[in-house]
Amino acid sequence: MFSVLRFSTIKNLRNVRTFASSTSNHFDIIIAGGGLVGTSLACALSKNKILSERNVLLLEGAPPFKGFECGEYGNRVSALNNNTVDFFKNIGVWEKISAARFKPVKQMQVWDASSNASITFNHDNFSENVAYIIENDLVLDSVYKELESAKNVQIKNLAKIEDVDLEGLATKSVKLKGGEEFTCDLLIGADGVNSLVRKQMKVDTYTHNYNEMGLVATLELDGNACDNSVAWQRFLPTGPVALLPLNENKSSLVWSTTPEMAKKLQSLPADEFVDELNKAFVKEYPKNEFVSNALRVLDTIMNSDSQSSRQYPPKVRSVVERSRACFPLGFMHSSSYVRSGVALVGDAAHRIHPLAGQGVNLGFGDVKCLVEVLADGVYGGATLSDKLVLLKYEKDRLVHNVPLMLGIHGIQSLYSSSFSPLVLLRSLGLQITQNAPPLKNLFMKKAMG
Amino acid sequence: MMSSTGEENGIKHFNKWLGSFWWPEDRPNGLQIMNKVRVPFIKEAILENENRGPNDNLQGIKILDAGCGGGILAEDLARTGAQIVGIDMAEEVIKEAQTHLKLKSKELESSITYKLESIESHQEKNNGKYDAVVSSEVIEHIDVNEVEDFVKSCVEAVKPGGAVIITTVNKTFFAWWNLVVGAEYWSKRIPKGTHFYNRMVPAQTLIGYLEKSGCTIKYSKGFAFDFNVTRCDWSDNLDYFYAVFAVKNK
Repeated sequence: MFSVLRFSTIKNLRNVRTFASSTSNHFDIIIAGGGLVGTSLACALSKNKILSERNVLLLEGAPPFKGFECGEYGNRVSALNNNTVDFFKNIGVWEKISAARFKPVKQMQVWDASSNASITFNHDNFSENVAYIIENDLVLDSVYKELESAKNVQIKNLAKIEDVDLEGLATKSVKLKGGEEFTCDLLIGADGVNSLVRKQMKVDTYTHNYNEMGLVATLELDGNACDNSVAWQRFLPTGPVALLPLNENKSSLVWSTTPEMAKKLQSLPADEFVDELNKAFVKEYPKNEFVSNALRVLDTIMNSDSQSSRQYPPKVRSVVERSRACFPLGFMHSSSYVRSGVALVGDAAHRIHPLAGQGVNLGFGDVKCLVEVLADGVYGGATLSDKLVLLKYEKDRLVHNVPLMLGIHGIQSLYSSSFSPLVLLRSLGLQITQNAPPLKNLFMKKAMG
Repeated sequence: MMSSTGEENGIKHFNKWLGSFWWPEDRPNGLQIMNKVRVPFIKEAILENENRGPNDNLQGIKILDAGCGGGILAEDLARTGAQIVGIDMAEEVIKEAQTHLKLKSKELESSITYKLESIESHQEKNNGKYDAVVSSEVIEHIDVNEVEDFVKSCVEAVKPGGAVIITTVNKTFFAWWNLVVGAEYWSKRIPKGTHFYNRMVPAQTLIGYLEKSGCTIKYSKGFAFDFNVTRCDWSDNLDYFYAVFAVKNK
């Protein structure tokens, strides 16, 4: 019992355990998974006035994070939206990120290869940014650095979890592969798409394999990229190809395509690969005449000109050596995010297609919501394992996540077909949205915050 | 919970609930759901009254829970740091409160004391002793003629300048429809015969009793359940449940 007092300060009321078992292995909160979302959660907990005295154990299976240096750009980047950036500002992480490097995106240009429909997203007069392109390793490094000053957080690396026991009424327990055991009031599953915590929760999950792979790479652009603050995405019949700017003359590639195509592209010699990539953005695909006519009629009705605003993405000059990598794409949603004393955040709860750049933003949104809801609950005298409190987190996030996920899934389905009526439908839809500011603003608010 | 000379129906009714005041973990009852709203209300009121910051806790504060029932409010209040004395007149219910504390919430044992006694006899021995007196969802269960004395006894027990916080149900059709018809008969979330229209207390009446006992009303706030008693939130009127925060004049 006295070892528990080591973690507590006497002046605050603490849950003093009086079990006979080794209480020094008991924590208020255990976070399973030290990736982007898990570490941000640990950091946010340590910054919250009400929760900062609760002791937290962060378990990560990999060795201690190698750190980040501003050398060659990493090939895994994320498009963070304004809500995420605000969140980072609140937990003191944004300073470190902005001191290193990041690329604000002022405009997104999206178009359909099977028709002439296109849409651009930007704020009026480019007064605000629509997204920020930041390397994942830089975010992780910044959060870990901020965690160094968090007195209530303990990080354990090389801690591969063997099993979790969720049946305990007030405490949950975690067993590591090395045999060590820990218990906690609240267990957070931040352990990614194949979450062990979620599997033990025995909840239902809906999964859908897209039969696509995402190919990433770091690219050097041709000289005329201007200030390269536009993100480009073209929907090809095989999947969307996107260029996300990294700096004035470098961009990151995210190309979602068939597994065969992805493997082939990955193994092509560099110059052939660059040719294929440049072709992908400009190659003309057969256009259905009916669709083209329909779009022209729409132009007349809405008094718009879908051709004049057409810009073209910068030409790619070369691909950075060894920066090409592939990962599988799929959709997953857990039927429940919580149980008494257990909660899922990030990819452990949901997984989506990268076409809208929302995946990790959803995870950070989960973290922000969970910390707020837990703080409110604890303020009102609830324990950390209180089911009512966790159910509020689940409800708030379902209300936010499900429409977005269904929307993105719907777009993926819609754009993976070359069936003319669908091409017509999506082209008209895209063009209408482009020319209807209220509609466009609705989408922008939801995705970009 | 009732005057020592008062009628027994209410006590008998609550004693029949033996063992069921607290519902199983995965089906919290109305009072447990209500904690999400009434504990922050009580905490904020006392913090303000004791000139503590909004992020502070209630360490060192002595609170009397008059009509504590099974201890649902007392336990969550204890987690804010305060020392709670809970009194009730239904013997089986006090026993259940003590059992729950010992078995499920052992860490709060040093913060909560339960006593089987009436508010009158308790305040005689503890006149002006408490920093705050709380009576939540009690006065709508006692005889209409005894509410004024009950409120007066609550005020006697608190120190001059201390907080008196009472939550109850307003005497309106809306409250009756939701609570008696909805919760007792329709969804059966509460046993039949728990609430009666003629025992519900209109807000103005309660405010009158508090002022007559020597208090100044600080503010009141209304809250409500949805029809199925699954969640509880603040509302912009006092038509259903309401909470009053008053301070005993010095």
